[in-house]
Amino acid sequence: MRLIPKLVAATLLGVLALPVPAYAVLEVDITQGNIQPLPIAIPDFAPGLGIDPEAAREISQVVTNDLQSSGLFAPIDQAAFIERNLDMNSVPRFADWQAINAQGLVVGHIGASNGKLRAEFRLWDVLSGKQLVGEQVFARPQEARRLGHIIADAIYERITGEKGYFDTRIVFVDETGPKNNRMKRLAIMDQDGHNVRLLTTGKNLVLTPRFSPSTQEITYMSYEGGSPRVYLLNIETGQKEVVGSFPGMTFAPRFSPDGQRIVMSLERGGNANLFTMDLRSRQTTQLTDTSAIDTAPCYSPDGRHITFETDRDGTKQIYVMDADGANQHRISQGEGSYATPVWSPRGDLIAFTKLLKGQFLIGVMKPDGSGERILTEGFHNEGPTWAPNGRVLMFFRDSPGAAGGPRLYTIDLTGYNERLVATPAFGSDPAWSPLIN
Amino acid sequence: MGPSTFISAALHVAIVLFVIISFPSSKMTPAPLVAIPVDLSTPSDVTKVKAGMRDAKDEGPLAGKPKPKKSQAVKEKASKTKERTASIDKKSDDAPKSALKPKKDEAPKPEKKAETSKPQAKPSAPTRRPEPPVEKAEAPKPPSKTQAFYTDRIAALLNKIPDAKDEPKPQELAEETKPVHGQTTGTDMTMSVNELDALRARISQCWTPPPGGLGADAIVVKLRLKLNKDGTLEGYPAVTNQGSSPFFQAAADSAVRAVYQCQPYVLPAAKYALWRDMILNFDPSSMYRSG
Repeated sequence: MRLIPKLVAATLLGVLALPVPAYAVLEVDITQGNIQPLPIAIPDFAPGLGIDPEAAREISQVVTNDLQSSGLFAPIDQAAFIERNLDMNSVPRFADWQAINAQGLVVGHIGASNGKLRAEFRLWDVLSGKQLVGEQVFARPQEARRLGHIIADAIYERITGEKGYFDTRIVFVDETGPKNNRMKRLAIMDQDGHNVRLLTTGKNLVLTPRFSPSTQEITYMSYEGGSPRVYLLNIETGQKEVVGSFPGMTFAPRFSPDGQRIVMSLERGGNANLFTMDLRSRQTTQLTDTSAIDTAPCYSPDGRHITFETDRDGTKQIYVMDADGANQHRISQGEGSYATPVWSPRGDLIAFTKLLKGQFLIGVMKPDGSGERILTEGFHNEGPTWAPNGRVLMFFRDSPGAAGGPRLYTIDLTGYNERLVATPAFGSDPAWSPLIN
Repeated sequence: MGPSTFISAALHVAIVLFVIISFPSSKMTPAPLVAIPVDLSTPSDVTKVKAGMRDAKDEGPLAGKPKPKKSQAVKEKASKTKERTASIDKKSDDAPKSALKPKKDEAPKPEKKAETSKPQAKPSAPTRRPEPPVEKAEAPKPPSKTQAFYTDRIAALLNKIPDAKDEPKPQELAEETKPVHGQTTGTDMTMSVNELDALRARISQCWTPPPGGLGADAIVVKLRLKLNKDGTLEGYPAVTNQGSSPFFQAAADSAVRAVYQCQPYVLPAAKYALWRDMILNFDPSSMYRSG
């Protein structure tokens, strides 16, 4: 009714005044979408002067593998590419990339400057023709693969809005030899299974290695010297020390989020309680005092709470308490028993190992115990550890039989995209590092 | 037992025989099924019929005598189908080629282009785009990789009330701006529920929201886009709201990718004034909750 005069008047007003909608603009709510990996094209990075083309290609391959492993990207087969020999400094022919259904395009160049490798790259939005990321990163020649991880992190972060986790490392227990006489050595590697380096000789059994938030140190339990003790090891210098001087055995150590304290179990007279030790003052504080076994403590990312495993109710269950030991309460409510709780770096979930009907499952629940979800099940899955962005978990899965042994796997929060992490030998007890700075 | 008995018996037999012979053959054949056309109408169709200008002159016949009009309309429709196919043939000559030709000139890659030449499929379907060929040359369509989803085709199937107005010539639609009392093509300018649903479904298909994260479910991206008459985007869509969360940029990018991927939008040409300027609210909260 009398819409036309209104429209005209409103249009005039709109033109004269501000970009206020001149008339009722059609407004549509889109509340559903598709969850699918983003098709992305990653041509081989171009080599600069003095750079081996194969080395440049390998870096782009690292980017491709990282993004693919996340399950959130679908790298397109290079054979489908129409435009070839892309130049970093010219705009790609987007129609050629749209034709192969690419939505993202990564163009890169590897050069050298001052004895370092320099990687330049651009991430293009193929549909809108907009550049989303354009950066250059440097690394030492022996760390060429890191360039790929850093680039993959930048792409991941721009597309998902979350921090990446590719430029990270895993510390784990490398296991070799027959099942009844396994040699267990501490080892460290990149998150994709490359660059494995052994940290201990294998003379003594090692268990539960954990990263410090600073990434330079790890804490673990070792039988060195006869009885199990918690140790601190500097990865760079190889220097190690015993944490605290307790009469009983200490185990299950873990750093506080600020890296200033270690929380662990101390066994005395058949039961175990939780203690913290301040790494500077060496002062210890007892947090729990029960006749049960309290173990596997883990801080919340804000440092205000601790989750742990205890059998004080008869079976192993997960508890949460304040960081000073107050307000201890059980959160696991389901059937079966629960172990190895690990607080997500996001703070929203706690991952655990669940023992149910002879099987070991990996699952997550909210810190109040609600919303329990099992992500993977099978004969023996154990020891979850979170990627620094809280989206992916790594754990180890043992297989039965004389030839069987533990292997490392990753799985994302949705319970899909389970992947084997290739290690040279068997591996167990993984711990994910924070992002490397 | 006289002759009368025989006569009576003979007559009875004759009657019984007549009944046996004549009844099954004549009465047992099933009546032929008569298809009863049923029109489904949505509330919006009813409101559309009633909408119009109060002060409009009664130029056209009111929709009070549907019967003679309908038969006429059917005839009209039949004759117009021919016209349409003719006009579409024309279109198939220039529209898809105009979209493809310039590219062929630039980079001769016939095999790849052939794969992407889905627009050729379009002309076989009824389209209602009234744009003259000159405009097409100005704005060549980008190759659409995704299956085109024709909202107006579906709306045409569902919306059976205005038969006569269902298949107007492109020119008619463009010119027909005069309000007509009580008719659907007056100034009743609202998108029907079906049209909006189809648009929503189409964009949902193109949209891959970021995988989420803590607090990502609360992010709504408001995207304002302007469309050309041919359904392509007129310029870069504008994100009209802001967010402080690190997920906002990723969410906004995903929304922009969706509207680019979905073009060209096939919407009723007669309502171009309505959809030339749109706001889309991308709200993934219900998706994350269910997942």
